[in-house]
Amino acid sequence: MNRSLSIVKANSNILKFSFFVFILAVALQGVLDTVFNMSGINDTIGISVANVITVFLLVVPLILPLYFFRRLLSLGASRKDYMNGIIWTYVFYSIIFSLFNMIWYFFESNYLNASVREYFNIMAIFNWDRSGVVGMFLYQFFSYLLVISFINLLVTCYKHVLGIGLYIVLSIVIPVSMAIGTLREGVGIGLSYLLYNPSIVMQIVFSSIVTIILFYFSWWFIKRREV
Amino acid sequence: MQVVLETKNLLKNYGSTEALKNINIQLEENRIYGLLGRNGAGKTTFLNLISGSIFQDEGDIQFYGNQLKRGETPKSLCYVKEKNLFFGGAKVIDLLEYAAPYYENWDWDFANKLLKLFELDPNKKFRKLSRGMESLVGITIGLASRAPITAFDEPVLGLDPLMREKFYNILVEDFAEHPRTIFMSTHLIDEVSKIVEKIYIMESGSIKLSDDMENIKNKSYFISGKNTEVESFLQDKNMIHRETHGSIAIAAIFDTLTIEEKEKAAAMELTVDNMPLQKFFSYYAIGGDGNE
Repeated sequence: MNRSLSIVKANSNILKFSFFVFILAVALQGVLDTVFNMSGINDTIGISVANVITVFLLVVPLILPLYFFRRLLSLGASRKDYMNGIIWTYVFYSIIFSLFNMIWYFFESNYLNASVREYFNIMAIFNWDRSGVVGMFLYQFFSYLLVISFINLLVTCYKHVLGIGLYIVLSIVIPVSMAIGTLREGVGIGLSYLLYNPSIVMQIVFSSIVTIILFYFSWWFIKRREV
Repeated sequence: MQVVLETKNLLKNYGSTEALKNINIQLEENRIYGLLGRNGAGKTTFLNLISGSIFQDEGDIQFYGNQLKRGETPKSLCYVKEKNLFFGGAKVIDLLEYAAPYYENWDWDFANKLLKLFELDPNKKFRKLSRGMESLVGITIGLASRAPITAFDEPVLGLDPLMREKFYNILVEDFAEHPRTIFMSTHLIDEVSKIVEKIYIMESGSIKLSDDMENIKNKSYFISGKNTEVESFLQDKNMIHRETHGSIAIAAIFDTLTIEEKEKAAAMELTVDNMPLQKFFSYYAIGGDGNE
């Protein structure tokens, strides 16, 4: 078996249980939500089930750097193998969830919204559906990978003094940029370039550059992380 | 013989604690080495360093003459840790499948044979294994990897004597067919004395002794007899331990005894016995003359 494939397989094995628990929680929430909706207790617009399930993508980069690194290196992998392996895992899961969201979106907009209930869907909110089926996939895939690379960096750097520095900087920058109007506007513009750019090509280019930079920084920390 | 692994002035500190001090070791190809030392002597730290798991503060590690850079994992080494941090939820066979791609010489036939010999259920989850069984999974990976250099940290921990014997036999048989360098840390010097060619003894982060096993066997003696006679006989000998029981003394020495010296001891009514290696290790590792 190829090294990266073996890592994707091992990761999937690890994530299996967390995914099962997550799906169980989502299913329970879905049942309650439907019951409340049908009984008229809660008749607001619902959140797309596929979007809720896609939140699991954010859990993946939380679990893998914490749990997987030491165990994989104990089996004989190098830090480079680990890094390649988790990037392939993230790519794999981003593809799966992008496809899943697309299929669900068609089902939701053509059937559920008309006959059951209206749902918020990230695809409509970010206008990711403006460039056809391929565009829907690409918008999602690159956005998911970008967010994953950011979370992966935050979790990977925690053992390094510069990582702690990064936490401090972020904990200052985020509230300040949200509090000041002009900065908030700047953040909005930045995010619009990266996550809901009207030009799909521009979005792919910008988000890819940032994703590569974030993965590079993660690699920098991984090279310095002891087992 | 080609040197496959060499460390030069290796130093590692944990805060103010010196875990390793100027470690210089040379391992040659196709030999079996033992690394002995008490708990906390620095064996695991040393093995973690050469495997690239942790980083040295000073010194060099070279594999086949190439320096191991910070963050690198040596391709020619398979390191089996004392405490395997494998995925608890994975089956034994899954772990082997995950490990196999990292070793060029991995032998699946041998791995399957080892599972049968060690009576390991390939479909059992790792977290459900006993401590001994966990060690056997590590041993299986170490042996089936057929890596040019295989380092075992306390490989027989948790194994019963029969299984330990089985492991040593399989190791020797496989080594005969597929020679490679084996580096094994252990406390059980008597058990490994038949297979290990050279040993390093570590104490407080330093190499206290490095010698061929045969030399150690030929230089480890108990001398017993009257206290005064023992003292007189051992004046210029390297005594590593001494016990006195009334007028009788028993001394452990690590030194050469010539035929003449043995005859002289007999004339002084002293008894000369070969020392069990486990005794030698405990006296030598404890250090000093060990007078009691």
